[in-house]
Amino acid sequence: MAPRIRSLSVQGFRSYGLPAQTLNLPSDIAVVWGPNSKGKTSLAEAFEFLLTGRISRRELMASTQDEFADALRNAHIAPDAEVAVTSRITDADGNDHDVRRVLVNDYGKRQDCSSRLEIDGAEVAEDALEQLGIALSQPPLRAPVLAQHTLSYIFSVRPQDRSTYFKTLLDVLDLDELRNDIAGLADELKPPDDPLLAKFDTCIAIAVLKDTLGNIARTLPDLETFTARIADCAGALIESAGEEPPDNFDERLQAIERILAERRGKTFPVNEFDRQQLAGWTPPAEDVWARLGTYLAEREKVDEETRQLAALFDEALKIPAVAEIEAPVDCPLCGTDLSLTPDRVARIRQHVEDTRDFKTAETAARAALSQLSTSANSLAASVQGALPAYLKTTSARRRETGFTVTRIRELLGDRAVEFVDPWLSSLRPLARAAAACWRGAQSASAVVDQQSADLGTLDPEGLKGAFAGLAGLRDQYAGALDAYGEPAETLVAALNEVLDAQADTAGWQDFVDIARDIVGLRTALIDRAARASVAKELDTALKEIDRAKEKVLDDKFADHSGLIQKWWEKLRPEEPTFFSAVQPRKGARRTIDFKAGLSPNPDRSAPKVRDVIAVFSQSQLHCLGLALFLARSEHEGTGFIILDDPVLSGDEDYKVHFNATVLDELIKLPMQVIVLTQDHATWEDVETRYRHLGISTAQLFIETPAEGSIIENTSDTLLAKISRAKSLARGGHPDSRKECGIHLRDAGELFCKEMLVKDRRAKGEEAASFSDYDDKTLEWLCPRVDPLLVQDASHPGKLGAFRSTVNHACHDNEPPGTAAMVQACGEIHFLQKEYLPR
Amino acid sequence: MPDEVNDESNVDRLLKHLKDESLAARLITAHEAPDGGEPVAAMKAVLTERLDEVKGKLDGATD
Repeated sequence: MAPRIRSLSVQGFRSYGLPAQTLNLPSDIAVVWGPNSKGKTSLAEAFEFLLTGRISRRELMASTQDEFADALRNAHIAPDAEVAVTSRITDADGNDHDVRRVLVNDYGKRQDCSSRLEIDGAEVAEDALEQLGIALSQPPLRAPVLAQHTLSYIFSVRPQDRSTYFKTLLDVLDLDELRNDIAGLADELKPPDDPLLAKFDTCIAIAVLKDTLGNIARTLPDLETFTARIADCAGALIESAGEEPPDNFDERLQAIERILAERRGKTFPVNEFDRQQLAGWTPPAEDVWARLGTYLAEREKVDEETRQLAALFDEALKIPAVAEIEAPVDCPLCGTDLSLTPDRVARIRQHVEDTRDFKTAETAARAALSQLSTSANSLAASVQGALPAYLKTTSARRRETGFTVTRIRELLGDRAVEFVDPWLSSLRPLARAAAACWRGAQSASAVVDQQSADLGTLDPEGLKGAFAGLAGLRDQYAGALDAYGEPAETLVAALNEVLDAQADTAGWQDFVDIARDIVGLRTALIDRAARASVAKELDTALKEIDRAKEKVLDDKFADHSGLIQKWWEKLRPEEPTFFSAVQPRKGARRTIDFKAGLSPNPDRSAPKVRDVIAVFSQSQLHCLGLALFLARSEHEGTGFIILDDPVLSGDEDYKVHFNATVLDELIKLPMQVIVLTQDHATWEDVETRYRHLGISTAQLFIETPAEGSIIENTSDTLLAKISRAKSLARGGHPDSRKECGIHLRDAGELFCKEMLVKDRRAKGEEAASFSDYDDKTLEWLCPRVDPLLVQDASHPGKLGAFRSTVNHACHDNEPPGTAAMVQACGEIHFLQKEYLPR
Repeated sequence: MPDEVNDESNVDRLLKHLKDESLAARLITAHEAPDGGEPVAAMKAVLTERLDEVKGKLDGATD
């Protein structure tokens, strides 16, 4: 259910003074009459202030904003008196809330007002009203309050500014965001930065390759055909150089590279940049040092003389006469007769046995030293190998071949600084690191060789330190090579570009590169073609979305035109000049036009379409403004509307349609309608027409300016209740008689309460009040009033009969007949005149 | 002339003007029902699927 306003209390606001004046709104329709300048518009603005914290009249009248200074606070109340509008609102879930807006600062000159919003006694943020189901519209007309100055607003602003009024209608922000999200997907389809594709695009510019490469890019043939076409291209390049292409694909690529190198070399020895990868090098393993240590340990165990004789003994034992000795023989070394005896040979064998471990360790040590020597030498060789060729030759030789920085700068021209300086910056550290590492390796190798030649000088710890130093030098060298790599390669690429251009071989190197990765090239070309195809589809999708979005707007405008037409027809049915459509101006979606149909015929056939501003009368524009407001309220699901003089005085036909048809349709939506009017006839007519719905009525008047506007809720008076009941009593429909019964019950209860209060006050109980009898029913009240009906003995019986009829009317399925209801109305009216004359 | 307010969402209205199997409709549908994920990621998935489909055709059509 949409929210409903059940009461509004105004205190110190605009024309309302102190204490608070309350408008009771128990019904879904209310009509308030007030002559001019009695507080009608202030009451409408009180609703607006309650909901928005400001009044739109000031915002719409921009040129007079200064004149609204201190406009909200009643001029006659004390400066510290609170200005507030309070309302009892039933929310969408059927729960009642006290909503209160307190003025904090009034409007000043060029200064906005400020206020505090409270719900159920607690200060809340502005959007808290949404939680009650109250949806406000767009500024400046946010509240569902239609006043004279807001009625004409939509026609007084420029067509470009009317879009504000229709913002919710025009609002396709969600579609705009959706479209932007989809448009952003185009980034996903951009081809990746693939060097193969860049090189392919360079190659396609080579005249002899253009057709073939263009063809394979378009047709993307299978891999076999693709390879064959690339081979054709290779052949074409070789032929363009005046040579016969070889049959084999790889040979063709080698031939191209050879031709390239030759042609480049004629201009500049670019091959001087050639270098090898730095060969891997591992520092000596731990067992190398272990073997050297073992040797030193074994050497300690054997004395010097034995070590020196060990070899001689070993050799002597190889002589058969010595090895197989059984009796003394002459010494083969010195020739002494029979000096070599079996005992002495046995002693020699013992010596040899004693030095066997030493000799094994010595052999292992020599092998370890050999490994160290090889390691140092290989490091020195790898240092040299990884250097670019120009660094391995003399400066004289470089000048002779033309490899000079000056020449490089000449070739690169304006681009020299970009490429040469970074290269030179990386070159110097490289040369220093290479020299240090090479010298270290050479030095280590020399030390190893020297210690190998004289094991007596063996110094394993010294060697270990030297090789640890080599590992560090190599790491520095490898780092310098890494730093050198990119600037050198970039420089070489730039130089080759220049050289190839001069040698008429531009793009050949790129061709060789792509030809060496045919599978990768084909995959990249397929990927690029697919991305381009889907990007086109995405572009088409965006265009379709744009077109669809325009249709959505057209649909929404058509729907809205339909709503406006509906209300227009209820206000001005069957007129030959009629509202036709609200539509965005072509090519300017934010510009809104209102179109009128002008038909020469009663059936509206053959209408001419014109702008309403040009052809509508003031009365018609007034009706259209009301129709627009009602359509917007219906479209936005507003639960209640406040209409301040919606009918032009003197526009009788329009008034009848409004009272009879429009209000009826609004109530059926359902929508709570609060009509404020200065026309007493309208007030009476509306009250009469909607009496069966329990319409709330009120009147506004001012007795003294200091007191301010007074609200009298006339539907709450005893006479008003009796009068309504009477008009319903004669209704033929049972529902009318039931409604009559409800009004009679209210009237009876009020009569009894007035009687009891009057009696108590007559007895001196001045504080007696109606509220003392809140929630008391006729059953409780009547027995207490009977003793007060003393003018005639028949009077208590009349009240009893009245109560019986009312009970039947309120509780039985079939209410009493017309005669009984008329009789009940007469009885309560009679008692009122007898005991409570006005 | 409508008897009541048309409360269709803008996106529902938009989809009515697009062909069901069009890329536009597929992207919007994915955006509105991202299957527990993020809407833009859901659309990227649709686009990637379409890209793979086209790549497959370009590759397969010639193999």
